[in-house]
This record gives sequence, C-alpha cells and structure tokens, in this order.
Amino acid sequence: MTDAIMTDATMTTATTAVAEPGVTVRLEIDGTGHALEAPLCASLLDVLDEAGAPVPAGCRAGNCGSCVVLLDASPVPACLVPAGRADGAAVATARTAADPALVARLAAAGATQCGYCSPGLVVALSHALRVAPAALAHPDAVRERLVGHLCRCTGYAAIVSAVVATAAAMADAEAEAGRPPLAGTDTTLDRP
Amino acid sequence: MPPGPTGRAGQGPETATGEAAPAHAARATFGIGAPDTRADAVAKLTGRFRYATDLRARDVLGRRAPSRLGDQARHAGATADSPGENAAVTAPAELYGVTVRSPVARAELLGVDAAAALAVPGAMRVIIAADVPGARLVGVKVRDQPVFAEGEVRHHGEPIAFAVATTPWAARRMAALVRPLLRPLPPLVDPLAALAPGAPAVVPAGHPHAAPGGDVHGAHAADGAVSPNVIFRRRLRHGDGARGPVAVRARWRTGRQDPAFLAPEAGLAVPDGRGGVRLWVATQDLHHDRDQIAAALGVPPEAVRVELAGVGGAFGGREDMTLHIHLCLAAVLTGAPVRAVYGRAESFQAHPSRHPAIMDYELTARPDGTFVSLRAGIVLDGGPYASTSTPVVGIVHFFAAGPYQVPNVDVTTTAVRTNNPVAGAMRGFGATQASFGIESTVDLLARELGVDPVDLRRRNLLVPGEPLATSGQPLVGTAGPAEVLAACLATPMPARPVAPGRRRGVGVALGIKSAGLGDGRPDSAGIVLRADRDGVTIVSAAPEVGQGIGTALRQIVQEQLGPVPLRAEAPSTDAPVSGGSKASRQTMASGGAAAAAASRLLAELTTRAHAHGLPCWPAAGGPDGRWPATGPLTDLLAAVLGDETVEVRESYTLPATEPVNPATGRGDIHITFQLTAHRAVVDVDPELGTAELVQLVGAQDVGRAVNPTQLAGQLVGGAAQGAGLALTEEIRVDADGVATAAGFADYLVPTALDVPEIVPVVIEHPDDRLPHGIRGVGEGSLASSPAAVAAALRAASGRPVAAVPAAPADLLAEPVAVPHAVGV
Repeated sequence: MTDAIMTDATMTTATTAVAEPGVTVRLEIDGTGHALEAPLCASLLDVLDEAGAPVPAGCRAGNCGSCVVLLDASPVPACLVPAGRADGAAVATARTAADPALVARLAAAGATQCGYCSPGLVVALSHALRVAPAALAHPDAVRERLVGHLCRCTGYAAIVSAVVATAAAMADAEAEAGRPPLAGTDTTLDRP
Repeated sequence: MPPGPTGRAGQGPETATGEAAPAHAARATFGIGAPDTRADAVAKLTGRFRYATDLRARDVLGRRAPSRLGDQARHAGATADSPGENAAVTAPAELYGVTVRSPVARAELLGVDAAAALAVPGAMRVIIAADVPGARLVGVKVRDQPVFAEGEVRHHGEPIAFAVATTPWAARRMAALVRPLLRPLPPLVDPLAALAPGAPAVVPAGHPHAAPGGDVHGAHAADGAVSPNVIFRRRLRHGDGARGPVAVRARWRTGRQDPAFLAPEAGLAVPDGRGGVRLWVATQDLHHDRDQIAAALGVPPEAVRVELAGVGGAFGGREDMTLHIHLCLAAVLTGAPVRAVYGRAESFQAHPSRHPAIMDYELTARPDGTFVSLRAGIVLDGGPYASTSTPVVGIVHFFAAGPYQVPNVDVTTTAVRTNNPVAGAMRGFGATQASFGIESTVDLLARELGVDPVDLRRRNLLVPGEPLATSGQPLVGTAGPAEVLAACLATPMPARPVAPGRRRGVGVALGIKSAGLGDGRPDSAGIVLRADRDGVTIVSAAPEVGQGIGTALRQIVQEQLGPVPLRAEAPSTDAPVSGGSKASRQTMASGGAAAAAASRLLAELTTRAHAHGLPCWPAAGGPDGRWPATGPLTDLLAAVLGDETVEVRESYTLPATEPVNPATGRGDIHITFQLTAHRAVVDVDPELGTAELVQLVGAQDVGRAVNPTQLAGQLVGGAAQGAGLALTEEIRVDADGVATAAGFADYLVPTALDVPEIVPVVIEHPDDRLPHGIRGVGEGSLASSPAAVAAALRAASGRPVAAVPAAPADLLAEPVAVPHAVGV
C-alpha cells in the first residue's frame, strides 16, 4: 500500500485535447450513396452507425461476428475495417445481403432469439451459400463456418439445421436445373 | 392437415417460406402449442430490428429542432460541488456519455479532477456523485450501491464519473482525461477471509451501505462472533443428527460466469423540460428501473417514463442499474438527449456476474447407498454490494440437497462482501451452483461405494409429493425426478466414435429450481387488451429480451380468441406493472394475466355479438370445431365493434407462497419447480488436457409447451451456457481484485464447434395450479448442465475436477505443477 496519489500512466494532459483529425468517407450503403465525416480513428462500423445504417456491435474486436457486412462483395467484420480504407466501397448489410430463403428457414427454425448475432451471420452465410451451397450441406461444415460468429441464445442447433436445409434445397435446385454443383462439394469435412 | 390434438385445424400461421410448419404438424396451428414464428424474427434476421445500441434521439423525437432546454437546464443543474461544465457549448440535438470507472479494486476517492476533460472540444459536462440530487445509493434488492463512487471505490470498474460531450469521440477522450484522485487501499479479495470474524469491513459499520439485506437470519457464527461482511445468510438444520457409515467430503468451486449477452448495455435519455425524463433502455424490468431512477433523481416515479429499447439478450445481467441513472441525470442536467453504448470490456465490468461459490459438502449413506445426512457450508462471493445476493442465497440454499431424500440436513449458505466485482443475477440464479455441489458429491459417494452413479441417484430421488430435504416443501405440480432422468437417459448415445488417443466420459446430473419469485413475495402481472375492428392490441410491460415472451403472450391470447390479428405496443412504464423478465416467471405471470384478460375480452365480445343479434364469438372453435380464417374473424370484429374500441385490463397473481419460517429455516416457499436432468458425453485428450463436448442431452418437465420451437431454443441455448460454465467461461480476477477479461478473446463463450450436439427432451406435466398448466422454463437448462459436463470430465480424465470451469491442467492424465490459472 502506498500513500501516493495514484495517477494513471496512460493519462494525457489538457494540452493534447485538440480537435480530432477527420476524414471524409464516401460509401455506397445498401445501394445508397453517402459522404460521411469521421475521425481518423473511426471504423467502418462507426460510419455505418453515423449513416443511420447501424449494424450490431457485440465486441468491436473482430471476435463475435455480429457486425459482418459485405465490403465490395466480401464479408468482413465492419469493426476491423478503418473507415478510411472503405472510402469508395460498396457496403451491403443484412438489409440487402440476406438470402430470403435462408432468412425464411432461420425464422421458422427459431434460429433467432435476441437476434443480435443474426444480421452478421445472415450476411456471412448468405454469401457462403451463394458461393458454394454444397459446402454447407453437412452440419459439421456449417459449424466450421459459424466459428467466427458468437450466438449466446440459441446454442446454434436451430441455425445449423436451417442452413443445412437451405443448402440442400439450393443443391436440389441446381441439380434440377441440370447444372453441375458448384465448388466445395466435400461434405465429409471432419471436425478437428 | 388433420385436426391437432386439441381438435382444431384451419388457418394456422404459415412459415415465412409459405409452407405450413412441418416440424410439429400434430400440434395446434395457433394458440398454445403452436410453433409460431416470433413476430420480430425476419426483422432481426435482416438487420431491420432496432436495438438499444442503435437508438438515436432523432428516432424517438422525430425531426424536431434542437432543444433550447439546454440553457435553462444547465443553470438548474449547476451545483457548487459539480466539477464543472463547458458553458460555452450550446446543447445540440444529442449528446453522448462515457463512464469513468475505477482502475483498482479499492481506494480512497479523494476527488475528481475534470479540468483537462472539460477542455476537450465538444465537452459538455462531467457528472459525479455530488451531482446526484436524490438517493445516491440504489440497488435491485437493497439500496446499497452508489450511483457514483463517493469517498471510496470498492471494486474494479466501479463508476466514478460520467463524461458527456457532443460526440462519442469527444466523450471518450474526456473520459480518458478525467482524473479520479485515488489513494489505493488493500482490497479484500478472499471471500473466506472476508467471512472471518474480525475481518476488515468492506463497507464500514454504521454506513448506510452496511444496512443488512432484510432478514440476516443466523448471521452470527456458532461462537457468537460475526463477520462485518455478511450480506445475507440462511441456515437450516433438521433431523436427529444421525450420520451414515459411508461418508464423502469435498470442497467444490464454481467460477465467475458472465451473462455475456451479445448486445452491450445501451440507452437514450430525453429530458421532458419539467425535471423529468424519458429513458429508452435495454432492460429486464421497466418499473423497477423507473423507481430506482426516480429515487436517484429525487423526483416522483411519474416523472420518469421508461420504454424498452430492443434488447440483445439479458440472462439476468440487465436486472441491475448500469447506465440508466447516469443517462437520465445527464439528460436532466444538460437539458439535451443523451445516449451511451458500452464496449464489451465495460459491459463485463458494469453488470453483475454469477456468484462464484465455494461449497463444502459432506454426504453420508448406509452401505446400501441410502443417503443419511448432508452437511453443506456454502459461501458466495457477492462483491461489495448486495445486488441480488439475498434471493440467490435462498435459491442455492434450498436446492443444496437437489431432488433427493435426505433425512438429516445441515446447510448454511452465506453471501459475503468482498472487493471483487459485484455478483448478482444470472440465469440459474444459484440453482446452478447448488446442482454442481450436490451432484458432484453424489458422484463422489458412488465412487466410494463402488456403485453406478445413476443407480445411486435412483435409490435416493424424491417421488412426487415428498418434501424437499431442505425446505420441507412437498414436490408437487411436476413430474418426478426419476421420470425426468429416465427421459434424459432414453436418448441414444452419440454416434461419433472416440478419436484415437482420447478418452470418453459420460456424466449425468439432475437439477431443480423454482419458477417465480416465491419466499412469500407477491408475484403478479398486469396487462391490457384492446380490441378494435382491426384486431387486438396487447399492452404489456413484460420485457422481450430474446426469450420470446411477446410470442408467448400472443399465443395465450389466441388460445381463447382464435387467430385474431394481434399487435403489441412497445413495453413501457405506461403499461400495467408486469414485474421483471426473470426467475422464469413471465410466461406464468404475464401469461396468466393475458389468459385472464382474453377470457374477459371473449365474454365482452360475446355479449356484444348477442346484442347485435350476431352469432356468439366462436369460443370453442366454431360450430364444427374449426376456426374461421383470419379474414372472417376480423369481419366478425368489425360487425361486433363497429368503430368502437373495447379495452380490458386484468392482472394475475401467482399462487401465494410462505416466507421462510425464521424458527425452522423452512417453509413452502416456492411457487413451482423446474426439474431437469442432463447427460453429457465428453472426450478428453489426456496428454493435452483439452476437452471436447460430444453430446449434451437436457430433459426438463416444462409443464406445457406454449411454443415448441421457442421451448427447444430455451433448452438448447441454456445447456450451451451451462457447457460454457463447465469448460471455458470465467471472468478471472487477479490477486489485486482486478478483473482481467477484456473481450470475447479471453472470455470464451462457446462457439458452434464447442457445443456440437445438444438434444432437448421435453416432458409435459401441466401444473394444474397455474393458468393453462404453464410453468416457466427459462432457467432449468442451466441448473444441471454444468454439473453433467463436469461429471463427464471426471469420468474421462480420472481427475477430481473440483472446480469449474476446468482448465486443461485439471484434465491432464499426469498432474503437472502449473498454476491453476494457466489454461484455456
């Protein structure tokens, strides 16, 4: 124990309290153009919030997957993208990037409770289903794909069953159309 | 589709794919038992649901011009003790607040230097304890927790000040520049040391904080000495003192689990210009929040309106005040709307965790395995403030003997103040710890006797109608534990083979928890149903936190009124008091009110139908047992009501309970019981100490399944949280009382791979004493799931696993000398 008045070594002084340097970020968000002023330290997540297109932010550290959006058609956690890096990009949130068939099955299966994880995992899974639906035909493969997404409510079972059913329906539709299945047909993926 | 078991068929809700829901085709298509899809599902899945974290003033105020209230309110709010404000800035449409928290577990708080913070461009105000005009102490059960620390900080992360600025970035910079003047004091972090007579007091004697939490029954130790740090203690002892010839003893520990709801705390407060405030917040109990906020603001409760903002999970962690009062105070003092959103690390610090428990158990039996005596001394680490420690003590205490017959019982359960983080409500609410204690001890006795642990359980389980070993209350209204256990064990074992080099273990545990408040406390809820030609509006304050109470209420209303179109108003304090979404009570309490209101509305509609010479409302499902389609029902509503609106207001009170008898420490204290059994299959790598859950089966008597889809979600989701407690989830607190969890990288919530196969097994024994036989179910899945996983870990590793979560070092074939904290 010490009698010294404790000060936090990380504290800065009043002289550093200057205006935040800013950056202008031009974004297309769900098809609508925006030009947003943001501090240099802002993330894509922050500017989506400022733009009135908020996405859930469970951790702001890339651990939970709740803020996954499509950035120029690739899924990324918005919290890990510096806003300036997204300048000029097209962003799709679950409002426009959700696969309707997947959403319908997830809803009916009870795969959303509090729902805070839902938009991020719907974006990621809709993307995965579009790219390679057959790769999500096995529950173990879906679970592998879900590891970047934390869900605290459902225990994942309903999510997995809904995704498997959607993938199977997509694969059937592909087969009926006489087209070969898309890449990623390995359904024997073993868990590590 | 053939008629369901209730003899009804017809226009059921369709799934969003356009197919009739196939999974429960034999069930009702609406009303109780229907697998209705929750009304908010598609909005949540497509990013259109608004959470508290998204709320902006413009959403609740429309496009109103920036308030000029700021000027007058700043003058009204200024006090001599206030560290100050930036008077040069005019209040904009919305401000943002960030909390300044204690970096240490215990220190003298000499003052708060806000000068540097107020120099930040956009700074508005720094609010501290001296700015609190009303009660400076609040609490969900005992008002012992400071709104802001005053004089002393007593746990890491305790709020010291609230920095308010025009932007989030400015507020964060302000918070970093606020200098709390702290003189460190030695923290009391060992709950057993805190319990020793003569221990230093975490809150000083005579200080209002030290006010005992109600009945401190038996707070004095046997020798008359008493620790100053007892928050609450219960003691019961009965029987003739006999002990069996076979005895086992152990000390068990459970860790500091966090509710870890995914949406961090968030809210928005808007001043009404008359000293009152409106708050939108993610919470579990609107009216309870309102009363605490009003007390702190020094205004009557009517001056505070609280409305539910979209809640991203709760699990008990939203019962206590976090940012509620800070936001309301900031709104009143600045005259502007103020919002705040916590980060993940701050969320961990701000809400209570599950109580870490130290449980000394001794169980004795005859050589044939019949239990003779149980002694348990259970200590819960409450942190410095009471939160819900008092009722948690009661739950641990009265379920400490599990669902077993034990003729001689001696149990003492104590919650003790320390300088560790505050502990409070989390799903399971003490039944989780109790199940781990008793079930682990039963397994130990089975090993000592050389008998199968399941056989030993069967020999000693209560049968329906028998009194609980602790409270003496008869086990009624529910399936017997043996039936629940049998249903659990009837589930096939997992197909997956054991990987080379791993060892498989199977563990079984039973759980029991009450549903509803109990302990003599009145437990009721009110509701309003409003019918017009377009349908029925439900007005309820029951917070929808993800559990699906909104859907349950719709189904209960439709059970009697048929598939009428339903709307729901956002829950707020304008609605009748519903009580909290906690204690697995809301489907019973608000559900009971909904059933009563639907009955009255049905009678009202039938009377009016008769008056109009119309056929009576098809209460029994219409002349041929079939409901008309939704269209004709609205036609009927239009014909019966015209342009009138009919409103019914009802309340329902759950069956009364007794308070604990102070002379015996017993009583018929619980409304009803949730009975569960879990079986876990775990593979352990004995060289690495890693564990993999292969399968977890959870059986529960649910009374009546209101919605089978949502019910399965409760059973599976709760079991996953239980697996987390057993395997990975723990807020670690270092020797200085500092909680080290910063996020989901070091607080390990189970991923989809960690909980691969969870099987819910539903048993329906309707409880005839409750409306529609419905019993609350939310917490049962967290009663026995951690104990079952721990038992499987023991079976697989051969190690004692005396504490959960089990670290790899606890599971290695050959114990090695590494600190316990290594791992995960």
